[in-house]
Amino acid sequence: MKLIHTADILLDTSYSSQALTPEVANRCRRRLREALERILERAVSWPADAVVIPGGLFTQDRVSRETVAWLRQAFEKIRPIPVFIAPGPQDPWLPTSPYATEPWPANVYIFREHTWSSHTLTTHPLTVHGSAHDGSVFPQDRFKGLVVDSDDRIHVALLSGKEAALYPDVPAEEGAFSAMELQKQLAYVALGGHHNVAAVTETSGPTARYSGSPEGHGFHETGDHFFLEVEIRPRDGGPPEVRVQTVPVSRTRFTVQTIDCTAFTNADALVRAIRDRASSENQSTLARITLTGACAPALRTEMASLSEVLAPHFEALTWDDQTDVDDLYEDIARENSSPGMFVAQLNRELRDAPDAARAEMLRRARQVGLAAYRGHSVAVKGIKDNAS
Amino acid sequence: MKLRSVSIDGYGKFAGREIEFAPGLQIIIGPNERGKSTIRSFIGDMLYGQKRSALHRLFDETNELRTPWHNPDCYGGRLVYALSDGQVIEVARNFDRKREQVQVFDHTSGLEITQDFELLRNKEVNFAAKHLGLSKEVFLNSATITHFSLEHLGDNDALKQIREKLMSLADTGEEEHSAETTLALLRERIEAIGQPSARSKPLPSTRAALMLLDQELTAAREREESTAKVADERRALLGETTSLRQERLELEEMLALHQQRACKAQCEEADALSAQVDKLNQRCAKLRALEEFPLKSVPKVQAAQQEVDRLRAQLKRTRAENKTVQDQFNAERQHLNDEQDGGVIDLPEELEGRFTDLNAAVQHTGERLKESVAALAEAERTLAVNQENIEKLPDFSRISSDPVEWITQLASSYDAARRSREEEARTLAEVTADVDERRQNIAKDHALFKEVSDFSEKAREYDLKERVLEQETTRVQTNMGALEEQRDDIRDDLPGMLLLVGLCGLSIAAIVVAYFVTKNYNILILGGVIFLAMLYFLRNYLLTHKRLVEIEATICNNGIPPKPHSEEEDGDAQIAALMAETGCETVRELEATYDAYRAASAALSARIHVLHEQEARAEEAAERVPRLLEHVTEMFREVGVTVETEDDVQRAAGSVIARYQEYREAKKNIAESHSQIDRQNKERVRLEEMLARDREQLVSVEDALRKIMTAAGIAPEPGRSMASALRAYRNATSERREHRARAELLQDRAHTLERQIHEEQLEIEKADQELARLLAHAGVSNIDDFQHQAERAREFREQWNQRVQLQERLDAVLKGEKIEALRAEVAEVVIEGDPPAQSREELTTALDTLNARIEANLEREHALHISITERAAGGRSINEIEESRTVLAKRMTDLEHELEATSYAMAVIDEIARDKHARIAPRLAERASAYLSEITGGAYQEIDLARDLGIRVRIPDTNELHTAPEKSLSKGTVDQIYLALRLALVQCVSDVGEPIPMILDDPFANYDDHRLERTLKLIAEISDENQVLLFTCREDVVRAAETVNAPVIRL
Repeated sequence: MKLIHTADILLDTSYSSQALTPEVANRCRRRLREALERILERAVSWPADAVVIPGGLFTQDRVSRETVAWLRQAFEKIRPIPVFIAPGPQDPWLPTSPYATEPWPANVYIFREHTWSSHTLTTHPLTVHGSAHDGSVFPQDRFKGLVVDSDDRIHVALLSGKEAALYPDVPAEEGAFSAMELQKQLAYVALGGHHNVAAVTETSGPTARYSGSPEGHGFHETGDHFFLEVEIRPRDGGPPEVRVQTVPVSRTRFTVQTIDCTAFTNADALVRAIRDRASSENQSTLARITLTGACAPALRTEMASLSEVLAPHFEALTWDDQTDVDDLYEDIARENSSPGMFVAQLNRELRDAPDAARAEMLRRARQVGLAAYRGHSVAVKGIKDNAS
Repeated sequence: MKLRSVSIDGYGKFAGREIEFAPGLQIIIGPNERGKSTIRSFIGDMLYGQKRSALHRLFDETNELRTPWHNPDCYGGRLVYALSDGQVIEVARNFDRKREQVQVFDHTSGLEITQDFELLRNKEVNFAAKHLGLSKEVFLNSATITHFSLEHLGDNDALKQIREKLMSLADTGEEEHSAETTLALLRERIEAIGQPSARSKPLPSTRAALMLLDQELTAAREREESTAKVADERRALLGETTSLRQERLELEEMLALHQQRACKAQCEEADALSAQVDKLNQRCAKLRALEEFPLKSVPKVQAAQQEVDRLRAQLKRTRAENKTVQDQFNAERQHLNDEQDGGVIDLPEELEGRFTDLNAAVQHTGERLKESVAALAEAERTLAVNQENIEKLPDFSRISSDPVEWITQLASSYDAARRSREEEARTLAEVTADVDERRQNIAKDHALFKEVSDFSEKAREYDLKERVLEQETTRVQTNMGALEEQRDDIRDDLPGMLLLVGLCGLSIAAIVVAYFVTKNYNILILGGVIFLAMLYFLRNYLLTHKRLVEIEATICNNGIPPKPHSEEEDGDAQIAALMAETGCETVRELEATYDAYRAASAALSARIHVLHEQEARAEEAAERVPRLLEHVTEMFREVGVTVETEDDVQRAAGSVIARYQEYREAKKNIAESHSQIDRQNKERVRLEEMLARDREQLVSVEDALRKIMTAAGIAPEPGRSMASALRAYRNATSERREHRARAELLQDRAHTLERQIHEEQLEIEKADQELARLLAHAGVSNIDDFQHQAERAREFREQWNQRVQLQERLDAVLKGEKIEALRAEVAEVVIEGDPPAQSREELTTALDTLNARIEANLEREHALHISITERAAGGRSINEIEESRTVLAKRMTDLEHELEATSYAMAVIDEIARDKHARIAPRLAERASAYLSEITGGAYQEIDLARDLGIRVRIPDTNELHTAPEKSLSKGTVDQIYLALRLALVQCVSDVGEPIPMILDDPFANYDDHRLERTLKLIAEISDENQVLLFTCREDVVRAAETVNAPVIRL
């Protein structure tokens, strides 16, 4: 039995929290579709006996009709391979959700009840168990009502939730469950709700894996992303043998890098370092670079052109210049000069700052003012020429 | 700090070179390229090192530049300097990057004290900054007065340039960056970000774009909501369709039930039909003989018979008609002959058409004229209404050319004034609090020092007296010590002297006794000598005793030290009282307290000045609001809108704009009405002209027509219109033509009917022949036999056809099945229960209705689907808008943050600069004036520095302070003003800490010999406090230096 396991694709998700422009965000959304397309193509070419999606197919409040139409077409294309979908918290089964309102192809089976139900394939010895999230809180007992027969069939469960070992602080009503609760009669548990590949480490239970999302959704989801190829072989008198293969699929790469500028005397070396560390071939890289350390004057003057030089290597590039640090200001504050007095006064105010916003403003005022004392200006954040 | 010596192991061109500096003025002379700059650089590097940053161990470019030429491995040296407290420090450094080392020794104790100083993260020991209180840059820029600093001073704006340099040095310790240039840079930054008034700048434009995005987002959400409603409708429709389909299914099941029953009925029907077919087969067999009768020719025979009959009847009718036509023709001929016909004259078509056109044009133009008059009346009415409306509205044209902009500006100005009032009031409160705090802080010192006038003078005198007293005391104490020693010596000597006198007395007594015993005169000689000795000893004793008495008297008189200050001197008493009050043990401490008080007082004065300015600003801002409100109220009242309160202005502005829009609309309508009236007037005149022209032409056409009609004998009746006359003429002529035509027609018809009678006779013959042929073909001789035989043959055919139809019905009932199979099938079907309540037809009808509803629903659903698709394609998605908004909002936040931070930095820098300049200016002016006076030999005695360090020089000729005296001053004098200020600045910097050594690099380019001498004399005096290393390449400087005994080092 061959299964393709993917989850948390979140088609049509919003990237507004990542401060990406709509153009870049649209490209990211397009690549989410393309990732699912590649996964479904793999399902045909492998060929898989079924595709399982334990939640997170799309973002409920943002999914467009056009995307739903595309999804229907994409699933239609892989007929007769069945697609099992267990709606999760991001794409709950509601009377208004596309799951309920759209006519899905015959090979798509969507779990509609918030209690456990099962679907048995007549063409394969496979029974798939699942439930749908209905938009409310999760039940205290996640596995209440899950009945797995001890027969010759292969039983697979689809579950969207937070495994306790990975999420120790998440309560049950937010989807927490323990790997120990997984029933042994299950051959494989396809998990959703965690955006990176992860195995649930409960040796006595069934094989349970998070496939993660096929593409990152922001700078909090850096690195490569995968889907899972699951092969289940029945064994006489024992639990079936399960082999899980992670397959890289992502084309969007979010990366967060901190680079100490102290060692760089000019922009060329810094550009090389950023390029080597942050950019990636065959993938569209979206980078958030934080510059720290001491910045040489020559480098400071060339800093404004960095974005332009690096632009071809990145789809989106965000800077955070923290090259001047507080300790340096403490030294300057000791000087018997106006800059020293200026820095000393702002250092004092910084120490007494009532909140983070005020502190940030004072920090910036200190940086800008000191730079002006020295006859150079700090690039203005927010002016397009200076922004990435 | 005084630099004592440098020992250069390796640094640039120097290797193994030792130089000792004098504690005061030290001249160092050497031609160009001899290393003067290298020594200066060495001193700076020895004190502060060569690091680029305080955080990281990165060397600056000096490290490479000053690498020893001859032995790069030996890169470093030692520097010895003394502090004002007497501590002597030696610094040893190795500048080699790989073997970098710095050690600090205390020469007094001979111990290494490197550990006593903070070790910076760049591995530097922070001793120099601690001793001097200055960073490397500030030290080098403040303490070093180089030729480069002066040579680019031009003749014009020299004092301004000096001021800028002075400000830069005072503010940042650098020559190029002052608080003013800093503020200018920050101001540029704020302008680049954009104030709210600068609409094209990033911040306001971002704010505007964000508003647009908010609107777009709202619209998108509304669109989404409406789409959701449509989707709900579509969903409901789909649900209804599903239930209709279910209903249809039920109906179809009921129809199937009917079908089963119909099947049974079909079987029964088939049986009945089969029986009828059999019966008909038997009957057909009896008539089989007539099977071949040509029934097909029956219609032909009948047709032939009918044709013969018809032709005969036709012939009869034609003959009758011929007779009638002949009669009518004769009657018409008779009628035409009876009339006296004048003939028929046709009216010319062109003339008639011309009359018709003109007549129609006259009527049409008349109608249009009426319409135009009515439109004119309507326009005049509209104009009156609009004029009435506009009279009720204020005349905005008198107020402004663009009232909306005027109102917006008025409201904006008012809002800005209100915001300004609040801002100024807040600032005033802050400044007031600050001033109160400062007042409180210096209240105690103020109470102490306020009564003391000329404190500095008094303190200096007090200090001088203290010093004199101290010297006197020391001297007295020294003298007393010597006297006491002398007294002690005398006291030690006196008993011996008295003993000698006694011994001499005893000896004389013994000699006298011996003389009386021996009567030897020689013994008397010895006695005389001893007597003389006794007298000598006695004299010495008496003199020594007298000296002792004198010394003791002296000791008694001078043993108590004289009082330092007489009680009568008020100044001293005040100083003494102040010292007691402040707990200061020395005058220096008291002076320091006084300086601190002065500094705080100056700061307070500056702040009070700021407070007064702020009060003025706040008052002005506060006054501006009611003034503006009054102005706004007045202006708005003029346009009929009342402003009740301060918060009411925006609403009132909206009302004014609304009234203006009404006014503008009424104006527009009036203009349109005027235009309409003009148009209609012109149209009316044009139509009237056209009508007159047409009428004139119509009369001439009517005359021509009348002539023709009269000629035709049908003259129009008098008083009758030409149109009705024309109609009458036409009727009369057409009647005549009709009679003529009818006669001609009747004649033609008579000829035709005669020809027709002949033709019909021929046709009757042909039809008789055809009928005979057909009867013969059927084997009969006459038509009656033919009809009898045909009747029987038809009966056979009928029976046969009936059988065929029954057979067909049977086949249709059986639908291809065998009747036996049908019977078997019916035998198997068991029909239970009642038949459906509705009939098959009712069910079919209901099914059709359902299908129609489903179809309608599907069509509606399709329309809704299209509507949803169109709505979805109507604009950007919420995702995109929100993402755009997030990007813009972040940009705006960044810009606002930048604006706030920059403004705040500006405020702080401005305050620091004002404070610092206000504090430093009086001291700097005082010292610089004294120095300039000394340099110029009293020619220029006063330099005045304003709070913003603006420089004015008192010109001797006019005795006026001049802000731009460059044209009346020589370049040398300008240089000297600069030098005086620079020297004063270094001293001011030194006031609060260790005296800073000064490094002068040939600053005397434009000095004459006298002023050079005087300057060196001044520098020599200053060098008592601040050591001066004067680097030069000029021998005249050396010669001048020799006059003040300054030591010279030749490189």
